[in-house]
Amino acid sequence: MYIYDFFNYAEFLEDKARDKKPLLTQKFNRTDNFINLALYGAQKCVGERILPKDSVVYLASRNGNLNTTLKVLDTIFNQKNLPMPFSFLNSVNAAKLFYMAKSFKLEGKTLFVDRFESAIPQAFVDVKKNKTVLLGYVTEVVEDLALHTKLFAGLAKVEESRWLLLSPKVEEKKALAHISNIQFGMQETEEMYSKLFSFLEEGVLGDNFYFRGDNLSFNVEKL
Amino acid sequence: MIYVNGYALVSARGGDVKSSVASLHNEESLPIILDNGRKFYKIPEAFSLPYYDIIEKMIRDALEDAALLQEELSEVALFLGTSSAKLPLNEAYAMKNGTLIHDLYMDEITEIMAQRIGLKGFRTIVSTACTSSANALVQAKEMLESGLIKKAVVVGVELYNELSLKGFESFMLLTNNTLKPFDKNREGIILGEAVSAIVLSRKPSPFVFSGGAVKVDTTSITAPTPENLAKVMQAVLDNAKLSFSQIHVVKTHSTATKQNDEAEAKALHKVFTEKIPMVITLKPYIGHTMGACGSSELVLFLEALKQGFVPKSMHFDTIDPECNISPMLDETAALSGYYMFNYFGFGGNNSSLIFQYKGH
Repeated sequence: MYIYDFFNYAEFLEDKARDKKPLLTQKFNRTDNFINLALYGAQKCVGERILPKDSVVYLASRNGNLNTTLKVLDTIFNQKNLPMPFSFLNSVNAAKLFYMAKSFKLEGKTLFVDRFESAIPQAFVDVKKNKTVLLGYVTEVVEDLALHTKLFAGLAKVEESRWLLLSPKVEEKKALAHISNIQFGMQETEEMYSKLFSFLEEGVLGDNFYFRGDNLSFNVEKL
Repeated sequence: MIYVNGYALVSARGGDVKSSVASLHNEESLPIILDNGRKFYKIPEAFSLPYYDIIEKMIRDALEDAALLQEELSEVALFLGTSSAKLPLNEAYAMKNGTLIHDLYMDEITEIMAQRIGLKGFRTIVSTACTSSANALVQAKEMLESGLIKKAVVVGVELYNELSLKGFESFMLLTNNTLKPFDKNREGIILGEAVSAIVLSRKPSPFVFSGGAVKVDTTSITAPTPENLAKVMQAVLDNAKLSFSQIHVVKTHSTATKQNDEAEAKALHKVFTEKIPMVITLKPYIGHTMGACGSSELVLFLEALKQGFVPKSMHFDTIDPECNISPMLDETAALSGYYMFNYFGFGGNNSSLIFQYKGH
């Protein structure tokens, strides 16, 4: 499986997160911060390319859109009202995939999964079937940063939208790196995905990166 | 080929899959009335367990049904499909402590299950609304076929939570009457809760997982279109290398909303151009179990075939000319052949599966 492109967005928040919507090349009504964050990273990763219609999308996130979920729960539990329909809808993970597919005019498989580590092997299977895969890991920070700190003690306040464009080897196109030797059973829990993106940004040709994540390992060789 | 080796289900019909299915012959499971007046298909108190315990029990029951040995467990991959994930836990904490968000890390569900049961292989959660566990099944099949994994247990989890109930209510999709798929007088969905687990591997059994397809429809985020539902049904036929005439029965998604049933009916007419196969609807038995409906309705159906019958559809009285579909209202004998299972969700996320029953 080859990495053809990547985009690595990580913003350490000291204050309010910047609005990603103005940065999008294609915008949609009613999208929330998480969806805009995901779209921003994916659109930057894909760039001007036109993806095959049957391309596969994996959007991985441990928490999903925290702010919309918080808003919907507040409406239900504190205000004792029904949520606004499209706020509820944005809290459903399939909604994020809808906008991803719409942005790239896709008709194939789009999946929301829990972790970067679980998306990689599934993408590997799709790429083996000659599919192009757009794979991203997105993390949103709670708007109320004090609440975020309280909820996620010890974790940095980082908004992330890190994306890989994966494909089988296509001779006429230049791949950046090759992923091989996928294995399960490792028990490391370091945030290896951020190191992988740093490697892609900074590594030199011929360099190797050994990903040892939560229950997953694989090799990445820069081409 | 990939086979079904074992399964388990807890739903409004109870916690034992054999007796739950045996009761389909003559017992209707009725939804309860919640405090807010809404109907809901609830897991009976006798089978209800705390969140992680009920998931663990279903996984263990399915692994036992598949007769997997303890030493084989380390190579079992875990796929879990859920729409609401940890919301039930979060909401329970919120109501008790007044904190809206306590813990939403969804990957902890499979991490805890892996630790409790001793599963050391690949694990993932798939969350795509009402297609979650159907898509988890497709992913497990494809990873088994690739050789990356050797055995898989696919779990569907959807337990009562306010967010899902109120969210569906906000779209005015719920009925307080009867769940009547394809009926002219259908009024909408009644939600339900269920946890189910299915073990897949290359070990032969009477049930072959012949095909799976997942497609996205970006026409509308809330309403499916017949053209795109037809595309996913055609895609699964292509994936299974079958023609429409080889399908014996279609288990429809049929949530009993006006738009959903009409789109699915029109899609069926598009795909099955000569004659629509027998149509079976299962939601009147256990409610719409959202992310768990993929694996839960499949378990109900496969166990019925194992017990020798195709379950009858319920609550259909009047044909809707817009749908022109008449679900089968009588039980029929289980025949060997191909069975199609449709699952459609919010966000235009649509899936279709085909299983072959080879007879016992």
